Amino acid sequence: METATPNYLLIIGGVLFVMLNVAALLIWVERRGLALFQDRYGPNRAGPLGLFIVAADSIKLFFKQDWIPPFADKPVFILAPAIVVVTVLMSFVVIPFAPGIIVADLNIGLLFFLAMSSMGAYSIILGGWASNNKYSLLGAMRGAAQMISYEVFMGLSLMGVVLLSGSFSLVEIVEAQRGLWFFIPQIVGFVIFFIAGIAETHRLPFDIPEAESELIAGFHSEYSGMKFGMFFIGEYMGITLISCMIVTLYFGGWLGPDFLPPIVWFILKTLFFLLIFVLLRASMPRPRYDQLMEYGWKVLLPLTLLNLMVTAGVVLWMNE
Amino acid sequence: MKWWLSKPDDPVKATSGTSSYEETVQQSVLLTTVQDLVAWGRKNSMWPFHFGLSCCFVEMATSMTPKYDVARFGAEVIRGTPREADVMIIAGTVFIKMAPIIKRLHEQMMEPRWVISMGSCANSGGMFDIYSVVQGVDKFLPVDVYVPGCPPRPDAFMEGLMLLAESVGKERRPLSWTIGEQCVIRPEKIDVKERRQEARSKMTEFRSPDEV
Amino acid sequence: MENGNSTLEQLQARFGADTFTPQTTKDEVLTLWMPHDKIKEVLTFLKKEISQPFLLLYDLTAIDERTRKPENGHIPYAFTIIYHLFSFDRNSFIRLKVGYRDEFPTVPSISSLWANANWYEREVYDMFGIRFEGHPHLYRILMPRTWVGHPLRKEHPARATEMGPFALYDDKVDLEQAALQFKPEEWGLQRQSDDSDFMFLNIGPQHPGTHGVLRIVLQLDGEDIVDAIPDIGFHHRGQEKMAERQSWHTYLPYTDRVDYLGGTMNNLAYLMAVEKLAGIQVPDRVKVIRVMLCELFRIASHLVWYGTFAQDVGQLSPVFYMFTDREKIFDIVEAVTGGRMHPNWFRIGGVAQDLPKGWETLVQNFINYFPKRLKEYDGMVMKNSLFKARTKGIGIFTLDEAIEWGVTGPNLRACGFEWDFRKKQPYSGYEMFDFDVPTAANGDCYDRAVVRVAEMRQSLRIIDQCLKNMPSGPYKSDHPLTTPPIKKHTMHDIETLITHFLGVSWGPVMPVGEAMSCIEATKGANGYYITSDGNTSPYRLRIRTPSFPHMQMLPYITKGYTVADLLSILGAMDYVLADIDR
Repeated sequence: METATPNYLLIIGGVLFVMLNVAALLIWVERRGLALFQDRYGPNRAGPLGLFIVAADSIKLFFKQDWIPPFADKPVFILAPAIVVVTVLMSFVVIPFAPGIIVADLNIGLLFFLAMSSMGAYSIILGGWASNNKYSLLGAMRGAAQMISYEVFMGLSLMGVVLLSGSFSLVEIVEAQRGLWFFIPQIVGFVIFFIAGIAETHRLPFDIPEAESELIAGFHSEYSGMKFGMFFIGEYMGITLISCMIVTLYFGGWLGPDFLPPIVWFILKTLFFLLIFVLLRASMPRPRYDQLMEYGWKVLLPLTLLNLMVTAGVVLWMNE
Repeated sequence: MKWWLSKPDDPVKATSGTSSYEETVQQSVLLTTVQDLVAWGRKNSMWPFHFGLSCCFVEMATSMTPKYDVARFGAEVIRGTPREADVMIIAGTVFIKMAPIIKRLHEQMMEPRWVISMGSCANSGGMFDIYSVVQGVDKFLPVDVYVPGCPPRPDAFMEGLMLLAESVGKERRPLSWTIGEQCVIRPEKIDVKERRQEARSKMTEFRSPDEV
Repeated sequence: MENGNSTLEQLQARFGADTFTPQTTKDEVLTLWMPHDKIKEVLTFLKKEISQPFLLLYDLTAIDERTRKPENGHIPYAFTIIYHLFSFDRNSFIRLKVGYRDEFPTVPSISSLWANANWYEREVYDMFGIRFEGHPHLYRILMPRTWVGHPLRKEHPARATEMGPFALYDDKVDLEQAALQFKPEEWGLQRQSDDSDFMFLNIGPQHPGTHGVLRIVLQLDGEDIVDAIPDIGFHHRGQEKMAERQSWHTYLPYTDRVDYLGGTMNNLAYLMAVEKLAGIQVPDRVKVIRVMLCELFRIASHLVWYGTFAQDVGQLSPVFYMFTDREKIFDIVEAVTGGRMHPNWFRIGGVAQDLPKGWETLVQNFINYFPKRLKEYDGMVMKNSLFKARTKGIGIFTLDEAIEWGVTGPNLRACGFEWDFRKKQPYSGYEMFDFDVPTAANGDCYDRAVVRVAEMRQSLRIIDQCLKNMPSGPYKSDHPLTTPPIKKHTMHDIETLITHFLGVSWGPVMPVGEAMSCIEATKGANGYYITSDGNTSPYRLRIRTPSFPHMQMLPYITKGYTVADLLSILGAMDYVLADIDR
């Protein structure tokens, strides 16, 4: 790893800037993408191709009255939306976008990612609890159960990758995929990680904590202005994060034929998964909360364990 | 740029003489530019509240669908909770039993907020001059745009939304409770009938209803 | 259909020959006056003891007779309670009337006899101030709790403008909000069980999942529904009172807005009753035009249901495709009638104008276009395994329960009962058409969807037959009460001109009598029961809507399911708020 005096501040600033913009761009991609799938145009008036719509949204949200309900638990209410943004941004620290473009190559990178995404669950629980609203509470309860359960499979499904690469460092995981991208030996792990990733970001079809037709807006029903904006942007950053992780862990990260620079490969692959997220939202109905849990514990967990055992066995046998 | 603080007991115009002409212009240019930007943002991002009363609501929902596609103007993000919505569309009959609830929902919306009265019932009670119906939502809510029709076509609703957007783009609101004048300057309401009068009076040839 | 003689004989054999006083009506439904003290016995006999019983309480309503002119010197009662029962075995209705002379009478409640009598009696109490003895929860149902007076009594003002200007002071808001506060004890609900506290969750009046202003209070144990109390009346537009001041003709636009997705279907239900009253036989062309329009609206209504149902279970996109198809139907409707949702296009004795030139192409294009789309939706929605998981086995009711609760239409057919008023009691020429009545077996949410989807295909078949066999002829019947009257009859002498003028300005005068219609509307059996005292407007008009009993059944079918299932059940029920509250 060439760590020859990298300008850390530049990278940190760059990652922060790019991630916030990617999340914003993703909102546009989603609105246009949904429109495309639904035979519509989507936002196309504000700026070229409607690209400025996100700017308009954020300006509006910034200047919208920011209000804390008198019945809410004030400090927690303010803290909750901050948690979601901070934890997601922190997770980006360990993601290698290209050789040398990484904020911190931790040797426990993967564990750090898992820890941060677990922390994200707090924002839902605290936000829902502090709002002192029945719908928020129901949303928070659902969110807590869903995210904690899916955390388990997510962690376990990644272990296959760890076994194959022999490291928790994401850079080394990517390097280990030079020969073969891990989604081939780890297809089961990949599918489970993907499903768990959707559940983690509580996106349709797993948007159970904020199921609009059931719980109005779920855990963020009482939030307005930029606090809501943070939940909103946090969701999209979460999707970006999961897409980045999928690419890093299973699709060889920045690896790709030489005619394009590594960073471009990384972006292209990530974009592909972002689009899959949008498509999923456009097409799938939402399962019921108990069905989701049942599916997780009764189907995904045994599958994950099986995958782990088989991978471990194969790795042992290969090393013999 | 020079800034100063004024004390609450000072005479109102005490500080006005200290600034040069250029400074005042600079400040106001800065402020108005920001105000313009904010107004532009609000105009292009009017999120409707998921709220419907009766028949008009179906036409309002139709305006989201491919043939009409209100999303083009950035107004397809329907929020289920009033806290996150910008514009409340009173789509349908305003029932006396519903009136206190509508008022409460309106109060729950955050500033800046706007109200579109959609359809004859919401405008004036329309054909339902009956004991259980409020004769026009403006009896208890400030209305920004009235859309006539029973129910208005989705196109008419969209025109109403555009009129509102146009007026929101011209609206001047204080940027914060410390900057600028603390009042909302609204453009004058537009009378579409007058605006169209000329074009309409030129229409003399009409298609017969006996043909498709 | 039987004529009812045998029913009368059986009743007389059981209760004595002079217990019942028959009345002749224009719709030839067996109508009997019965004494107060026999109400429960007679109804119990009709439901439980008689062979071929009357299992369905079709409607229960009242009439304020106090301003009615004495007929033949006979002074009418002050109030009449009217029970409409229906027997599937006999395929016939029976109408039972009880008269009261008190200003505020008390009637024995039959809510223990029929489950769906509960809300009907509450409605009568709310609208007329008639109390029901033995009713478990006799509260107002449509009007706010704070309301003074009973709107359908003749002394209650009809117009809002007669009642003084409306003002909403803060005190008033607080008062109304306090009245809306849910008190579990009123409904006999516990606040906690042995091991947990229940949560009471207000769904509505404003909620994205209720499709309008409906309030359901849920008693929740975690996410499991222990009980549900629907609170309706937020959409009460006084349609029945409205009829008492509109002329027979100018009431037509109001009917459009009862089931606002049904469009002309409502016109038809009203006109079926009015034309029975007037004795008008409409020409074949009118019948076929009406059927075609109604079936187009049935498809349009089912499409809205289809899309929103998919959306309720979380599928975002189908609703966009389905509304596009609905627009195609509206293109036809617009070409024919000039309107979209509320065309107000049928007339007493005909339709407003003839079909425009070139309508065949429009309809033909739609017939060619739509089956492919339906097939696509099958794959997108009906065969989607997540959709199935959300709807199969949810909200089940059996056939017996359905009839007990007054369920009609597709929801009844989803229980496996092939009952369609278009087939069983054909009206407006439905006997001339060839179509099937789709049914399903399990009576769950999925089956209700299956039936509706199949119905769209059948409606398309009917439209195809209309297109191929459209009879020629006039679009209005040649009858004195046809409104607007036929112009060519005017220019003979002063008499004919005056008749025409009166028919146009005052509107037609319907002969004294009463008539009821019952049609298979988009959501179930829809009917208008009209009483005329020989005036330019109805003396009393009662709208029997299918959604009202359907919604009443909600607590019964949601118990034990979760909040998410409630949305599936509501979606599958296919109701329109205006159809519940009118």
